Amino acid sequence: MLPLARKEGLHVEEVSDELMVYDVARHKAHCLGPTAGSVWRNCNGRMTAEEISARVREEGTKIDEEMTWMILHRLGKLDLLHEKVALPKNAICSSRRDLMRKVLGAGGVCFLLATTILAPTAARAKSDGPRRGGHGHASRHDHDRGRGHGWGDEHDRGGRRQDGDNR
Amino acid sequence: MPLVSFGSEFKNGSPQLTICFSAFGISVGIRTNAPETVPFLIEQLPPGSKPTSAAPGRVYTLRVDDGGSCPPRKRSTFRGVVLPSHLLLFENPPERCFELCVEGVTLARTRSLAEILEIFESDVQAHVAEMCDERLFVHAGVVGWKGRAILIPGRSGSGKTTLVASLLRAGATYYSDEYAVLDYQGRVHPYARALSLRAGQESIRMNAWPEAFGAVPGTEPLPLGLIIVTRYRTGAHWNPRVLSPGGAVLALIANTVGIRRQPAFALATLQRAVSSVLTLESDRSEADRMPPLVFSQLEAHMASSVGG
Repeated sequence: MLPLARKEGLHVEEVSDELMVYDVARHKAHCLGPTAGSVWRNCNGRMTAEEISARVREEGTKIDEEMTWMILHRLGKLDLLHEKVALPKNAICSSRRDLMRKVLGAGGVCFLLATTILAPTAARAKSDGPRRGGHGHASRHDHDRGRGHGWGDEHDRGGRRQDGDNR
Repeated sequence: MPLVSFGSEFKNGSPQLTICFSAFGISVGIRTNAPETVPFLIEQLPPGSKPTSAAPGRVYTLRVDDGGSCPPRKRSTFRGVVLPSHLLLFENPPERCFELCVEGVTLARTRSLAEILEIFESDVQAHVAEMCDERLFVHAGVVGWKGRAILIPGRSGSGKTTLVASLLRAGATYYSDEYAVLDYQGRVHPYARALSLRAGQESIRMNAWPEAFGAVPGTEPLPLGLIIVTRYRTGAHWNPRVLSPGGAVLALIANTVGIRRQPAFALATLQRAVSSVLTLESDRSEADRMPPLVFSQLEAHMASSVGG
């Protein structure tokens, strides 16, 4: 199956050279870097990774087929493609060091890939009420309160799962 | 049109007072059997609230009784008001019990009126912020500087009110310490409620109007100039990195109240808001050191924008 970008259930907005994608069902907001955005836009279900890679290069973005596979794999994991992309055996054959070099050469992780957050519920995106020290009933706020760090419930960052570090 | 009227419902022989108001096009009702609490409740309403005859979409009920089954108060909860010349602190007498409910859910039952007021204020403002269709509410502090808005997104405890107060002392104009209210063009409107400061113990909250810091409230909507993504950390150094416009939008989305309800409106509004903005991210230490750093960054950005 050739990569096909999912369109339904998504709100998309161009912000400078990045793409903001909001997934209505999953309440996730993705910021696709210029390269990832370009790859995603070209996932029309009729082009192979190689062809997508060539098309993105024609648009002026420095990318090779290996990086294209990385991005496609990531877009699939973010549910931005109709079907997840299975990486062919030899799709990524560079060493980790070489991959890092390529990523940096393409403008860095944020430029190349994507950053994702889980959109906050209304109760989370506000000041907490007072801490009630054990008296009184628990309020609705307590059920929604979690690890508040001002970046949404889930920030897709860190290690290999991470596309872009936004901090 | 009366703000307060006697409703037809009676509970335990006591008439229920009904208040209906509208803020940002959202109507909310309050019922209570304790008329003496009404002035305090009104004080907690969102800025710009007006009496309305529209049917409320959400009704809060505040019942006051003698507290037979009310849990004992384990700590003092004060509420204070900072005036330019002095500080007022008050605490309700402990012999009564207050129960605040909304839509069949008990938000709190406590002997502390201050606590009830705080929960009511937080909930009603969040409700209006979430349901409003004409404006986008981002949880953030906002000040104005040289015709641009400085926006500090963050949740409770991130230190944004302290930073706002510090910027006000340094000459900024006050817009909000709770919500950045954005219109469709991405401009920031004033949300003129008192700053809510925590003093000493967390249980002491004080409301301070900008005049207490020698500042004036803003009246006109401003375009965004600077977004500061920061939080207080002891010993931290202000060493900001610039976020991309997309990164700025993500930082705002993480604090946008109605993002799940109206994502298309939110995305479009935020896209416009960040179109010519500088976004900096760094931990910070003491707030008093920040104003010159913040103002100089904004001024340099404005100069480069004009020059570019």
